[in-house]
Amino acid sequence: MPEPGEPPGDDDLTAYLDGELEGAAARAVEAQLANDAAARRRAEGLKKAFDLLDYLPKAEPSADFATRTVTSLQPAPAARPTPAETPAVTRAESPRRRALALAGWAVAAGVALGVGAAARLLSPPAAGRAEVGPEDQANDYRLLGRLSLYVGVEDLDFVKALDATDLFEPEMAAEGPPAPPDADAGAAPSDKLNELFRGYPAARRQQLRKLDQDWHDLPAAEQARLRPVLENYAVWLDRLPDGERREVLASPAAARPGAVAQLVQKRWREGLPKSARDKLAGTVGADERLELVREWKAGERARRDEWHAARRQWPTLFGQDRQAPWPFSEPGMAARIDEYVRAVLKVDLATPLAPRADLPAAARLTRAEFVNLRAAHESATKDRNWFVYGVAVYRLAQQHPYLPEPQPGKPTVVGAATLPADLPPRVLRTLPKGVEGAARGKWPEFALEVARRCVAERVAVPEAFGPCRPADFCEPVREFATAVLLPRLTDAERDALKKLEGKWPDYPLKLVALARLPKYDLAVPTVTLPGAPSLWAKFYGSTPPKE
Amino acid sequence: MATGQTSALMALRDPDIRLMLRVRADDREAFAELVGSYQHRLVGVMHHLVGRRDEAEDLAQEVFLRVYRNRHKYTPRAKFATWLFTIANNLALNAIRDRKRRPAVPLEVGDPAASGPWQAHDAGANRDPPPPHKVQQDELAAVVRQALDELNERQRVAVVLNKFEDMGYAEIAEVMGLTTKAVKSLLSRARSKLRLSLQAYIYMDGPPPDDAPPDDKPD
Repeated sequence: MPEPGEPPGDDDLTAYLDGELEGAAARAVEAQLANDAAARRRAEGLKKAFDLLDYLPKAEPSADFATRTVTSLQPAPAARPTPAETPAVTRAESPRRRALALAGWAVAAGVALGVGAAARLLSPPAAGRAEVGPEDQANDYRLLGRLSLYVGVEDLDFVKALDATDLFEPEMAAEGPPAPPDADAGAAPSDKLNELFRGYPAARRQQLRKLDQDWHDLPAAEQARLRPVLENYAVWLDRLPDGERREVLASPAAARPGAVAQLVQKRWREGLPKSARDKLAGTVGADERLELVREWKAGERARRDEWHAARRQWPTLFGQDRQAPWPFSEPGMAARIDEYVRAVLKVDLATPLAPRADLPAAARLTRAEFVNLRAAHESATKDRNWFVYGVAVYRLAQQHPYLPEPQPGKPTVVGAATLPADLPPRVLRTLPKGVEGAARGKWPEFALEVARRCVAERVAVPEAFGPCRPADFCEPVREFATAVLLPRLTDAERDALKKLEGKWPDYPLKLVALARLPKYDLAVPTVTLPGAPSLWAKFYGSTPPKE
Repeated sequence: MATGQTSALMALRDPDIRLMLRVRADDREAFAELVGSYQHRLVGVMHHLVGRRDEAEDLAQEVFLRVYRNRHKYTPRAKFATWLFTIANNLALNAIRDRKRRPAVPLEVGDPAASGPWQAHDAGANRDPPPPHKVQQDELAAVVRQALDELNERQRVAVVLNKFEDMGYAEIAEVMGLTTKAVKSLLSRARSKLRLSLQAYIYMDGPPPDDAPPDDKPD
């Protein structure tokens, strides 16, 4: 930048034309341009010369440029074919399915991969290899479409066993709706897949036919649930080093889920950062090690859940015109959620909390939870970060489930003084001091703690602990139970609920659980978050739990 | 902020970073996507830098292959394009310098792929400025090409990134490993040089301003 009073040089003039000057420097150039005709000519010349570059011919890459580039890569150890050669049979949209397409090709690559050997390893003994009957071409056609899904799989039981391990749990399909059942089955199988399949021993072919028929016969919902497990397993298997893959495939079918689990754990440990591996190595005893692993995995899970939730809410987070996500997009819902925070979580976000000051005794959040929630609320109201607030509220609602309050005028059990007189004193004496202190003053935490002690001491929980009949509930819950929920219940559900009358907390717990069933999907007023539970789970929940 | 978190945040904002992270995880399909989405820009920029389509494609291909070979070293820092063009810058500078060291021998006379300074027919050499209003578009392209080739290699890279990739000074500085101030100076000299080289063509669409000096000397 020139000295004050000195005319700007070409550096500044060019930078000004490029929009790279600000403030005083820009004003100096503007002043010069206003007063100096030579500077104006120079500026115009600079601009026009730059504009002439538009006359340069624009080169487009040759039609085969991308293919040539991708195919010129050194062959990978697994000798995977390039995506350009990926057959239509496994062509799909999502990254997971694209990865599967490659995994499917790993099968086609055959012996070099060790997966060709898998076919033999997975085959029943030679005694069972008799070819059976003429092949059903139509079914084989369907099977070939799914062949890449069946790598290292013998039967449906194996898939279900894998599913039970939670090792290959489905990722949330953020890129689009899940693949419909039989999504792979309609595509034309490539000659290579056909050739590969025909090259399998007859028994393996038969095994695959049975597996495919069993898969085909599965209900659509079951297929949709198991498909990601199969896909993720196939991709995982494909990415294993050859030796480990052979090890997995060579293990007996019954023991294979265990072998897979061990290998997944091993590779997870090996993938940890060095500091984490050192920390793990420094643990004393298996229990401490297990606890550490559990803690890390919980952290991983929480981050993954947040990521999945964020992916579902992408447009509201980063879209061009950030809209408030559900439920804040609906009129009045933000106020109802604020009311939930006040009436159920028992904290007041509007009132400032002095440093070191305690929350009121009735507040059901810790101080840290309160501070985080208030920050999220502020971010929502000031910067429209509603998603963050939604996540915070939903998480707290899950961590601090509530139970219906009694009719006004009836005391709630929130401390020793409010306990029924007929409760044996030994129950209170056995209440751990820390727990009693933390729960004191809070509904329903204190009552639940004492109820747990009652069960441990084999003492019946007195009815007076809390409302356990529709008529006992506060008005909004009573109205909901009698007018909304009970009429919808099946006879069996109604009977089951009826049997719990007089039992606290069983009756209100059952009532809330019935309302939350997917077929009813109801919020319980003054107890659960306003709005359909399924929508909260969809927008803010973690990876959906298995049913 | 931990590197992992930074990467995650960057990946959230730049879809190409997410794609590159998949490439880093040995996902070849992601690499194919990456080539597909950047091939036009990269071949275009390389063509502007070296002037020949076949050489531009070779260089662009080498850029992609280097991306793949270095995938495991990739750490998201800024925009993915900045990282990509840093590799492209190094390769292009080397190619232009190599060419300077070698005699410019045309492969064949009138090579249609050639539009650079080593083409057989040098539209710019010994030229008498033709009547500006009658300059045909392809002739003008050759003249502009000549003006661009007269810039030194760093000026050329800076101009091309600025003009065709719409990069600001800070990003060009990052790509070229220079300070922003150095880029400002580089571009200023380059633009002045272009103005001089092309001044006979600047006002071909109309008369120059009344107050244009009869002889605008080089700065």
